[in-house]
Amino acid sequence: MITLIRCDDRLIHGQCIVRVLADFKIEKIVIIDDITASNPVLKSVFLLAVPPQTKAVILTTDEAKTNLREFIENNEHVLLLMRSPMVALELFKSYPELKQELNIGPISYRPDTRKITTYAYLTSEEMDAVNQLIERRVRVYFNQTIDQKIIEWNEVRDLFK
Amino acid sequence: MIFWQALLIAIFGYCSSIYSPWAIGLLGGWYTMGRPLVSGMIIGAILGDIQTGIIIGAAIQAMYIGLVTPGGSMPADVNFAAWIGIPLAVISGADSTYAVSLSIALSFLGVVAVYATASFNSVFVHKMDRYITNGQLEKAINIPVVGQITNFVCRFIPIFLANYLGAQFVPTMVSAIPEWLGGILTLLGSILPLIGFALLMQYVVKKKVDLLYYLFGFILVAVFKAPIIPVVLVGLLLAFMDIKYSQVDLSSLKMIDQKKSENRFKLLDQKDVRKAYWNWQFWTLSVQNFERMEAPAIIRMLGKVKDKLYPNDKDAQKALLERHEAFFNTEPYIGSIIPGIVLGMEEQSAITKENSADLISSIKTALMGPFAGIGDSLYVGTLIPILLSIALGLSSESGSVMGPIFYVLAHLAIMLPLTWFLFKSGYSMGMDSAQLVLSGGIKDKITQGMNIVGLIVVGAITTMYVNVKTGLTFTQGDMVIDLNSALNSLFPNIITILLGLATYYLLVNKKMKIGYLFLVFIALAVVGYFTNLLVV
Repeated sequence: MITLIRCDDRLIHGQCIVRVLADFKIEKIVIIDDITASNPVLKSVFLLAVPPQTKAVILTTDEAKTNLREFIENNEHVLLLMRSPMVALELFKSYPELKQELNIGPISYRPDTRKITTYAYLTSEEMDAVNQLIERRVRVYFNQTIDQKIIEWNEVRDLFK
Repeated sequence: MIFWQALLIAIFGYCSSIYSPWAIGLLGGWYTMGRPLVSGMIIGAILGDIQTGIIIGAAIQAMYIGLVTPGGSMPADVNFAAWIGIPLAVISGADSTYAVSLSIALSFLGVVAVYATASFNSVFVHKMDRYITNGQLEKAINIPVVGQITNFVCRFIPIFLANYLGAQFVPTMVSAIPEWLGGILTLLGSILPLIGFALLMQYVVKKKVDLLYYLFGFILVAVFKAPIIPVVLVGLLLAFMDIKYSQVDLSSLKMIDQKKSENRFKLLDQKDVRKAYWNWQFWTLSVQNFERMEAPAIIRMLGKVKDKLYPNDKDAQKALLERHEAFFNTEPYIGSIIPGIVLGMEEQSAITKENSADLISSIKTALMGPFAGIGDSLYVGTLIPILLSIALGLSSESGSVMGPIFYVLAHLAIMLPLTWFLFKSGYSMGMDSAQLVLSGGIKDKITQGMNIVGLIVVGAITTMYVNVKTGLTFTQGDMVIDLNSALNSLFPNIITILLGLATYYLLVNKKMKIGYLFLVFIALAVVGYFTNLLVV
């Protein structure tokens, strides 16, 4: 059962380990990231960094497109974690049965990004992916941790034009 | 309060705010002097009453003990709560529970200072970019020093003014508080630490059955009247028994030792590596900004050794700094392995003349997340609160200096060698070090052990710092029975432990937000006061 689908460009950092795992009672993290999945040393650092009581799986985007069903169907609370909304779009396309909600957490500043909230900066490709998700009627919202205010896409839609 | 006292408090308060570099960055500042228990000792010394300072600091500390603020999500900031709340409480002779109630408002004001600083500092980061582009490298390296002005303005001035001016009317204000309001505030302040303890437990409790450790610590003190040191020893014993039966493989750490001594051609000597390490330690968050976070500190660290890496080659030096302008953010202390790795890789790349910019930047970016995760949970969320809990136990009721002194020494004695070890391993072994320090299950065993000790100690200080009673009585025939003594003969301090577990239940099982939890507690204090249901 996928409990939360989240974009966060640092993947597993303090917010994720300290807050998100506890707030959503996550039992398994599925990280979808081509760089991490294809570098063995990096992959093992990520797997070791996750707390022992939480299981972790790291997949490339292509692997995720074919292998996600087992995580959707089993009973564990699963967190789907990826760096960018572009990857999220691919997943929503491949699996229409996913809960139609995407949480965008912190995505850091890069030279060609636009500031959406104090913590989320998106490139034009990423904004385009968000727009396509909105067209597909996916609820896209911005939030770092649940004790902070949720910002719906609708409230910042002007930035996406 | 006279002028120089307010001035000294403002200087120390500023130096112990989260973005202040002067006391080895956060290590000696925010995470040491900035903890209200230690702040209380310093303020007490300045005002000539150390004991009162510590008692009030300890009360505020208890409430904020479980406050972990990862990745720029900041629900409350204890800087103003400590450096304005404690001194004003000391001079007005207010009860420590008063100070706790009033510190809540100040902690929200502290958050405003955090956001103001981190938003404004983008200006300095853009200045840094321009300096690098124009080849004014020394100026770029000094941005963390220059940019510190924002933090100075946001911290020193409010703390100084609030203390100097507040001292004239706060005591009158406190004495003008009507009895009923004073009673409610005292009651509220005496139960608020339960929120702090519940926040801490939410990170430490992994399985519901772990709550038994908490209960055990509570019983050791409430029933058997044990002081904190034996409680810690019992905790260590239980932790040891728990860990003993699972394998810990230390061979990976031995490999680090061997590899470190391997000789290789170097541009940097031991002194340069130290210099880089100290620059990272001091300046990590000095110009904290939402846009690039810790990038200016990486630039400063590399800038300090740029002449060794690329002697007399201005263009290469400029390129070096330019490629580290990108966003970088990790937990600075457990994460100090990453600047170490960056330094080592930049040195190798300067030797081989190979362009490894992409490799360095992708490793840096990939590692910042996992190490922030470990640092925030293991160091900020576990080690600091446990050491503070022990310290609170040492200072409970007596206001003894043993507590804060224990905390300062234990914290620095663990963190200074550990951060140097991590930085050095990263420098000499590169990315393999990241894998080696994590393999063998050492991190998980330490976490497991610390959680057990932590829960027992938190259970112990719960009953040391909170003692909620009921004032209800009932009559049986012509005998008036005091409900409180009746309950306590079943289980000493039972109302406190029930309220503590209820707070944990609301926070963890009902996922209640902290703001609402405060409201529930305020309501409880009001109702409790007027119905006599709860008394202090």
